[in-house]
Amino acid sequence: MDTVKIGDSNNGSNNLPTELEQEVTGFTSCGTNLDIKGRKLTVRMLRMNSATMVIISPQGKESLDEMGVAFPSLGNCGLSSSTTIFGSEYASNSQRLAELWSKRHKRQFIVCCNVQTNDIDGSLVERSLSDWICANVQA
Amino acid sequence: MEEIIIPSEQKIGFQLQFNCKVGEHVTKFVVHRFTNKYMVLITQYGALPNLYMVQFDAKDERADRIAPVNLSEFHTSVPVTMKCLLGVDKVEVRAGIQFLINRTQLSRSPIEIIFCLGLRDMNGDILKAIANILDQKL
Repeated sequence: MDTVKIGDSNNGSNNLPTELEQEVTGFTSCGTNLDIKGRKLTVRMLRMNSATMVIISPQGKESLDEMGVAFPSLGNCGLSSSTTIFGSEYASNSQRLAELWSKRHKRQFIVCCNVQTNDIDGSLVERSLSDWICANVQA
Repeated sequence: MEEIIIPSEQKIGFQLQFNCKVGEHVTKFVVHRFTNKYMVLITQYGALPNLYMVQFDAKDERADRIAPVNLSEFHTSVPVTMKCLLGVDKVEVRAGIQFLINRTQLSRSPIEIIFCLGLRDMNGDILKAIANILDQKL
């Protein structure tokens, strides 16, 4: 009795890896310089198989100061999860943008937004970035 | 190690980005130098399974940082501090990152490194192959 059960469980675990085999395609990426009402930004995007990484920096001085990640919701409950990986926890644009775009495109987003915005140009910058991402999120 | 050229690749957004077949799996490499950090992503998965922040304990930009010695009797590692930012913190991944830093020019980096190392199976041969590829390309 026992031996049969062990044999069964082995068969089950042997079948698992075949399901985990994913398609093997490489990553693609693109980058651009955006001029938003005098603010010059460099945006780089790395498209992975199941996630997208976006890095936004001032042109000519590209740094990595903060990073946020967001996952889309599973099912229809509409709650996505996001967090700040490093950088300031407060007023973090990265986490907010990651959450926004992961909700919109139903993908995992990793965002590094190293640009400080204020109330006046924040929405404008955000909209330009969203438009560019919308146009380029698919290879 | 054969390099796989993806036909749909149009514009490259990063300083170094390529795919290589290491062992049985296609391995994706992305390297970019920012002003305050290096970003090194090496993964055999479809996304980033982990992210580590690697800081060098000797924060000098002069040449007298401890150089790695890759001889079996006198082995010396570059002293680094690693912090797991994302994903499961595994000893194997930490060891792999330390190995790659010892064996490549990354050991002379004056700035900290954001590292992703996602390998489906990790052993000495695969890590040596990856270190060779990195050293040729960096």
